[in-house]
Amino acid sequence: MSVLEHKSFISGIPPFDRLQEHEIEAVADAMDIAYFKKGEKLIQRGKSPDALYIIIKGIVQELRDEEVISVYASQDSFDAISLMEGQSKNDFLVLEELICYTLPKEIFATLLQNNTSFQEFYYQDLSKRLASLIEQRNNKDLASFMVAKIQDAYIHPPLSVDASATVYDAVQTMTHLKANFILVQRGTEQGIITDKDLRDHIVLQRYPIDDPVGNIATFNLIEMEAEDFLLHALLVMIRSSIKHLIIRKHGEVLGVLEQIDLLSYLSNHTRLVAVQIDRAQNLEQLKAASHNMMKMIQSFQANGMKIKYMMEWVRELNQQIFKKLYALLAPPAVVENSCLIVMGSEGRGEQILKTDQDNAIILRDGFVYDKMDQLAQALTDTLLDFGYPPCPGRIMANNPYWCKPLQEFKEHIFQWVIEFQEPLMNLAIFCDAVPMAGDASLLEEAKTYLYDRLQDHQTFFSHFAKPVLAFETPLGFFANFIVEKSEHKNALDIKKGGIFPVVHGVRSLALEHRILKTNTVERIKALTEKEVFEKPFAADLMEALCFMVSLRLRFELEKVTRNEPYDNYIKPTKLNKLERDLLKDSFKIVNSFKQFITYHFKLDRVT
Amino acid sequence: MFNVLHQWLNRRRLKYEHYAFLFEAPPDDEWVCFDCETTGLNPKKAELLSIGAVKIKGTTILTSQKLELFIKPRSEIDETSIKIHRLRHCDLEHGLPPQEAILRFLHFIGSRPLVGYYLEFDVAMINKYLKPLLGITLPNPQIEISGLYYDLKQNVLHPVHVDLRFDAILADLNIPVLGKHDAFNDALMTAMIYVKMKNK
Repeated sequence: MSVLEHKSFISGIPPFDRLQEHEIEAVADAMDIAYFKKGEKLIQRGKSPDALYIIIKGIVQELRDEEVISVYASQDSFDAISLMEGQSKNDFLVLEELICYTLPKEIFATLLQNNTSFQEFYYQDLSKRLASLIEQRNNKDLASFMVAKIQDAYIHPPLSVDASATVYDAVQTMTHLKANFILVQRGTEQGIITDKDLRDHIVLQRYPIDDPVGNIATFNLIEMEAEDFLLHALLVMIRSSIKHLIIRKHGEVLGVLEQIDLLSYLSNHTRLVAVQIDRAQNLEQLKAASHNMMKMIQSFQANGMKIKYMMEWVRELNQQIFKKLYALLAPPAVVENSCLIVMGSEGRGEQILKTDQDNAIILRDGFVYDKMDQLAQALTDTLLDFGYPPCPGRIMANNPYWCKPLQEFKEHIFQWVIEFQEPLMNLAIFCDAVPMAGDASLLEEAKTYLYDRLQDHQTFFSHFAKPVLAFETPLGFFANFIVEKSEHKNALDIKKGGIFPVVHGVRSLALEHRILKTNTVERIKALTEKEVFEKPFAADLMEALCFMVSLRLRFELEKVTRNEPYDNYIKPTKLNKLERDLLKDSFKIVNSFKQFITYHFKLDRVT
Repeated sequence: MFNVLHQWLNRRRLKYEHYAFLFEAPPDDEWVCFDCETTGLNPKKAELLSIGAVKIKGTTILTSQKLELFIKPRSEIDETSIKIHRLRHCDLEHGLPPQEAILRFLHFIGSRPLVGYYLEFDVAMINKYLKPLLGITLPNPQIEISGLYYDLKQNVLHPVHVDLRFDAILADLNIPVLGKHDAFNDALMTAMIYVKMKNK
């Protein structure tokens, strides 16, 4: 390998890609190539290595107390930490015969000293590395709308009239300014009057045009900061069914953000779906809206939208769909006296592509509707038709077990908690339940009942948390990751391997600490506030989870594009170097989280 | 059987005592892999264009102490050979005179055993220049990796065909193939083959 080839090999590997030309040259000149047999110990615990190893071919395992904590393959380098700290905490063992570069530690130390960005790479924690990944993507692909700030969209200047002005004067000002709304000042308070208000009040209700405009203006406007995300503004608008927001910057009113300007800024898919749901008059139209969600998600993903916002979006739209659907199917009396809930990943707001439906109906005690069976059946069927696949465990409203009065739900809860009856997962997914339509207080009461039964029930929690350890973290043998051999060749199940342990572990902790939130990220935040987690660990855990979820989504969408059914399998070989590193880091975090859960719930003592 | 004798005669022919180090005992556990690029395949007629060499110590290939020499040819290079070694006239314009290259090479290898692929040719090429210069031929022990590879693969009881082509050996031993065939790259790949086989 001529110096040139040394250089091109090494300069493609982070963090060596951050080096200056002359530094790369120095590195290439100083490197040797070493060969090691399978089973050789490269670095021994407690010893100080004299070089950084960069793998050309072969596999190396990092072990702590016989337990594999990391695996290194081609293009990986190790072990910077031992070099920086002067001794290794772990053993490094050759798993597959190895050809690697060795870079003398003096040269490595010089690089650390002289190149800040090289140094940062090693001192950065996971979330920072993720951020740098996102930054890279943005530079590469397109500066996407999901990072757009409110101030990037058109903000109408804050033109206003006094509340005592007549409607006539106000309209004249509006016409003069070619505006379709104007702010109304009442003392220090700010209101708004729009074309639609004029139509409703003046034309339909014959409000006199010479009377003060203040009486028909809308006050208590919602305000947002100009620095906030545009997407967030859209969420607020949809949630509160409003079309205008007051935008402030450094405390001053900057102007008004109108929904139409916001939408013209954002992808047309979002707009399409949200508006479609809103306007749907029958099941057919609602179904069309629901199907458009897939396109929307694809465009979000292509635009590199943050997974957190994407989940929030889908949750919001799903909520709208369920609400509308229930209103279309159920008579008003049923809507008033029942609560349609979704559970599991949908309840946590973590379902992006439609997986199985986990839903149920809680009826008010004493309320009887003779066609409840048909209604529940219709609900399940319609959702199937909309593309929500059936739940293999039949956790659906058309199953009588999941459609009954509150009192009977309480009895179930009692059995789940006190008698350990029924599959544990029933309780697990019920913990994640959120109301989608109807009377939310019914679910609230059921949950309160659940939490009251759980007071200091330590055996229960240990029992409940145990599935966290059900699957091995796939960090192991085949070139970094343990992958499947037969059916899903070279792929790994990221749900079992990484997502589920985090979700369920966090769920167990949330249950123990009576945290009502259902979203895993929000639960982690709440647990951090209660000092269950240290802040840096919580940040890493959230980033790791989001990274794994977004990786899964990417693979799912690729399968959708190829018209294949989607599942939880991802292929590490299809990841780039940095992504593989991040996934490895994520799995390491999953492993330390598992240890935390084991210790916290004393899982080693449960059989 | 005559090795000792040859060596003794060779030593007697050495013109300059300054190069006696070539006959000393080699350092333990060290080797040199080397390869030459030439203008042809007949050592009598061909000219040396470049020499690539790398040291091996134990199982480490010391790429940080490599040797890569280019030699200014004494006559025009034949066009067909340019296509093979890809060394153009202009690439060699600033090359060393062959004698100087040979002496540098000797200082690099010392008395270490030489490892190569069809080493006979390369050694003959070096000797062609070395003999008039110092009166000797390369005294270093020589290790032929195609021979080692053959022994590794061959089975006395059930003889098999062993593919001794360079690329076939690389592929069989799962050694990364470096992009460009030049003297140094070939020496380096040869070194990897040797280190790997030595540890089989």
